[in-house]
Amino acid sequence: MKVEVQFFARCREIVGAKQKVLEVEEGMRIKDIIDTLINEYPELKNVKLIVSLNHKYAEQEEKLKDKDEVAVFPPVSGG
Amino acid sequence: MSRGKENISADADAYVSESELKRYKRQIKIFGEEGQKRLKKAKVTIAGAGGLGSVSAAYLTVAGVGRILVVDNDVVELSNLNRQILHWEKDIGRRKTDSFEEKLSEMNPEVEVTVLCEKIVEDNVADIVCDSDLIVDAMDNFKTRYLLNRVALEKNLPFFHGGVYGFEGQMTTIIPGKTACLRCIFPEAPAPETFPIIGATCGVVGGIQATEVVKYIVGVGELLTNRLLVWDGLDARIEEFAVERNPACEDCGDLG
Repeated sequence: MKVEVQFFARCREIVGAKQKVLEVEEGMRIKDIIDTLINEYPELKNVKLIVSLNHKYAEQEEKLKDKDEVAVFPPVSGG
Repeated sequence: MSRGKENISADADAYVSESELKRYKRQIKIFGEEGQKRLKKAKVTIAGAGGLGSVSAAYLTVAGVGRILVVDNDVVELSNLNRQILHWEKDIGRRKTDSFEEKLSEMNPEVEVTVLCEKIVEDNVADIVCDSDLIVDAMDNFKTRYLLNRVALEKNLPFFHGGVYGFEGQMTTIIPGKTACLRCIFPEAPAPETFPIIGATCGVVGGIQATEVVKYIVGVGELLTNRLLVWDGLDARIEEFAVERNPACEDCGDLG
């Protein structure tokens, strides 16, 4: 199954894309795709990540379904 | 969740003069003289006289908020001028609060502008906001944002959050004890950084913060509560994420 991941702010800079479609297996959790992304983009590890699932704030333990939309963003502190 | 706080009422001592009726004619068409009286009676603390503060302070001043307190301890630098639009070339080296006081008072002499050139710290934050009706979070760091969030919860003051990065912004409105607080949404602070930014992003975010404050005071519309709005300027899109109170939140979890 596929999920779409959107990136914002520093996360977007690190990944170099505003969104990606990731292939995930049945039973995978948000945490699993975050781990995959950190593996591919180690700099993400230094960012405090907030995640949402289908436009709702989510815990990383939540399970994914086909066509889910995940967003990944850091708090932005600038004023 | 959308109505103004009961204690900002348009009682008899809030008087809208003939010149004020003229000045605010276009907005009185929206919310009436009653709404204008509420604005006149309100006291707002704006924490931060930078990019976000420039925009929210300007719009709240021209809207006729009765009393505005601006708090900041910085001095204007050349590198501020791409976004901090209340500071001009002539202000370099001046206290940001002095620059704000001058500009805001000239924009609208009907508004009582006071400034405080102090760093907001744990020891003074409660005194700073003590007679305000609400707080605008226009800071540039999470350490101070968390201090303000906590005092807003303790004193039951609505808290209007905005943050910027590059072409992006994040905004939410917090009603203590009722909606997700800043710590519910962002449990951990990002590392301090020199953030990239264009001035217009502050315009979008500060403008939304000011809109929220006016709505709250006047008591119209639906507030940006339990939602994090993310402005993606590069894509010209606004994304919205539903957030909710975290019962285990270290800042508001004990508010019931």
